[in-house]
Amino acid sequence: MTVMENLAEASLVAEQEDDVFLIVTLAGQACGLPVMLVRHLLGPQVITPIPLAPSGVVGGFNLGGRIVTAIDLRRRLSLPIADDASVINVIVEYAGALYSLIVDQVQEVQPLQVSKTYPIPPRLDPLWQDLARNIYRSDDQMIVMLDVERLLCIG
Amino acid sequence: MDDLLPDFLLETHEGLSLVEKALSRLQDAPDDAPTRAEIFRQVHNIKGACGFLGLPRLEKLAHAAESMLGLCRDGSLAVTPQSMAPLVAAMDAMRQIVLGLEQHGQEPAGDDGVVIAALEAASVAASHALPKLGAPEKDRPALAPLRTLRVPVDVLEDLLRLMSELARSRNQLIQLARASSDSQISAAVQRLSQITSELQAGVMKTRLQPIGTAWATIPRQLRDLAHQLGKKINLKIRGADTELDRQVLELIRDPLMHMLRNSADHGLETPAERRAAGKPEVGQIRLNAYHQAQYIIIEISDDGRGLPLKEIRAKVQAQGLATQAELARMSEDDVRGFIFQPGFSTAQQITPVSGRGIGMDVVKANIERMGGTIDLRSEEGRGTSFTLKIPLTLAMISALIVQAGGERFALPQIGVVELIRLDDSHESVARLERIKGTLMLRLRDRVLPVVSLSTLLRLGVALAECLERYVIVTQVGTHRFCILVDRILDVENITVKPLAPILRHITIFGGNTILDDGSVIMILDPHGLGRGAGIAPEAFAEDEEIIEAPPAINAVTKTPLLLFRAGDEALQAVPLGQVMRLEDIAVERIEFAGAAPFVAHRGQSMPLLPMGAHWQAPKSGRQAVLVLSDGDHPLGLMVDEVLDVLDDAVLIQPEASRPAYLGSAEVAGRVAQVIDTGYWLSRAYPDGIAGSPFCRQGA
Repeated sequence: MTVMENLAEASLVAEQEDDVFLIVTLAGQACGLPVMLVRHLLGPQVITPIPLAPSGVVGGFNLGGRIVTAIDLRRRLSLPIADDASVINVIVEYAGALYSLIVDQVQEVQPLQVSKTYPIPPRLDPLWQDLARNIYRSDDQMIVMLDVERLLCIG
Repeated sequence: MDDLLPDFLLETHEGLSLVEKALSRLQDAPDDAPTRAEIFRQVHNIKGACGFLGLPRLEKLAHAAESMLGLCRDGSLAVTPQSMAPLVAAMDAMRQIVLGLEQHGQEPAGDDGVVIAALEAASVAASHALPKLGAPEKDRPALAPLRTLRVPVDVLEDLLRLMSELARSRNQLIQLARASSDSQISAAVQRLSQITSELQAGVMKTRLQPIGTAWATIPRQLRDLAHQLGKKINLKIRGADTELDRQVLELIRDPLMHMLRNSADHGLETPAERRAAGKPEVGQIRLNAYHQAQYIIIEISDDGRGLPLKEIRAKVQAQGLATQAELARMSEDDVRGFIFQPGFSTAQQITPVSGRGIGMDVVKANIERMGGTIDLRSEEGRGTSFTLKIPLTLAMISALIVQAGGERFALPQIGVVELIRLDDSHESVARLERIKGTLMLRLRDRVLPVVSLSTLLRLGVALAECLERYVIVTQVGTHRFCILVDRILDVENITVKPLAPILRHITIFGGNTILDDGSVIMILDPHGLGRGAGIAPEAFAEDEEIIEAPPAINAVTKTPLLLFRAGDEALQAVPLGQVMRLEDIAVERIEFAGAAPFVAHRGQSMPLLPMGAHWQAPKSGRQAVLVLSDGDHPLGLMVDEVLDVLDDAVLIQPEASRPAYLGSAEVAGRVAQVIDTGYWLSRAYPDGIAGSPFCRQGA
């Protein structure tokens, strides 16, 4: 998987892995996830729904004998739901448990340059204000850097 | 140094346990030289490590103990309970320090002057009083090197997880191989399958520990207790090498100790009382462990006064747990069962040892939480005996796989009292009724609250005809309620995995797991279900019966059963004695007379009946058939799969059951519906077999 190769390469470039981001796309918007937490990238999975789960939690699936709790990031971020959107499961490990953050596409891995980060604009949607760390301006797009801890704060 | 501390703590714990065991061996055989030497060696090792790690307090204690033990090893100090007392005190002090070390990473402050002085006094007295008995034992035969290895538990847990996954992949491969006709592939899969099974058994073994590791301190504690209570107690331990899962071991440690304390305190009489009762002064407490199928059985018994029925009855009435009339109707066993009620204690006086009313209810709850049971036998004047039956490993529990609103869920089988299929016929034992919009189930002569799984879980309503045809009667504590589901799909042994933190607030689920087919399934928690449906204890109306009597049961017998799967019933069984033989016939042999299938059999035609409602003749392959007979007429019952034969299944025959079924059977912790062969024979031969011995008795 080329993205995984990029992951390895990029992490060599940056001094701290935390500063390397996986750029994903959600309803056309580029978002960044810290590479340090990412374990796998998977295609669509057979997901068992979890009744009464918080909104955004679509269910669970099996990954090598461990149960992954899947979160649809479109729902989590109140983005329009598109049935025809492609599905990539970005598996992150947080507090000892595996989660899948479901995104439309995975673009690339980028080391972050501090000079290009900007604080969150105050007029951004309050939900996004809560879930984003900052904004990153790459050569060709604005990337919303997501805070995984906040994303998983839905219990 | 910090890197070495965890290892040191582990070794010291082990060392101290070994010393305690050895000390209790010395009680019975004070002159056993190897035991004396072993104690010396263990304490010596601890002392050595202390010096290395810089633990002065522990080192001083170990040093003083070692000096005294040196004399003991050489035989210049006689081993008596009195002479060993300072040593026992020193071991206690050392254990305290080790515990402090474990918690705070450094030696707790404290003064061991008294303990050390006692040790020194004993040493001095010995060296004056007794001449040396002989040359010290110098050349002990070299011990065989220990062929064990310490492995972090995490590594084992990880192995176990991978093992389950490997087993699942194997199962999928077997499915695929079945469909393929390539014999080379089947052979390879066969080999893989066998190796996987062996590997699995091996991995499970790494989690096992002898129960004796949890029992090491028991002789000591009981000795102290006997002393405290002024009683004479002889403890007999058997089966200390019986192995069980280390997690289970942790969980039963406290309940066991609690029960032993009860036996010593309440069970056994004082020497004077025993003499008066014509018993030997020394009371016996027996602790016994052994394996039985997938369970470990632990028996704790005493030859004390037994449970006092009169006092229990009085207490039950005084606490308003039952009326006199109710008590009069109860069997003696039921009355004794009250000791498992919360807050119940008949101890006349509260002793520091036990009798504070936080007792057997907690023990029972703990045992049941791990899927075990506790049984009680008692005879006044003769003694009391508790039998614990605990699964060997917590890793696996048996669960019903049910379907509701199109989704599958696992329901742990512990607590499941009965499975009922609702139908509209008049003879049905169960009826669903609505009282002011609330669903209730009228089951025989009682009314039970009902939880609809699909409603509770807010699963969209699917097609009306396939909805909620099954009722699972469940017992939580003393409360019974019914869970309404669409279908019961299967029974599977599952490993409970904890929910992700973001899901823990959903109390209806107790965990989740991965099924054999690799898919994830949520595990229902009966407690949470009851609460979610508002069936908490306080929700029961005052006049409602809270302590339910067991369902009216006609007969409980033990009988060999043949287990099979057919149609959409979960698990079915037939008394083995009623099956002539099993056949696996090629589908091509099945012929049809109109729509009725039959097979030619020894010159006779044997009718075939499908068990499921929607049977269709398979195009190819083989069909499993149970051959029944009423003596002259054979009948082939077509089933999906024959699973197993059980020698001693508990068959429960209710007073009234569904037609076609004799009752249900508890089969290694699962429930199987036991078919009535008479029903099927009478369907095949409507007028032939009225007097058949296979007809249901007492129907």
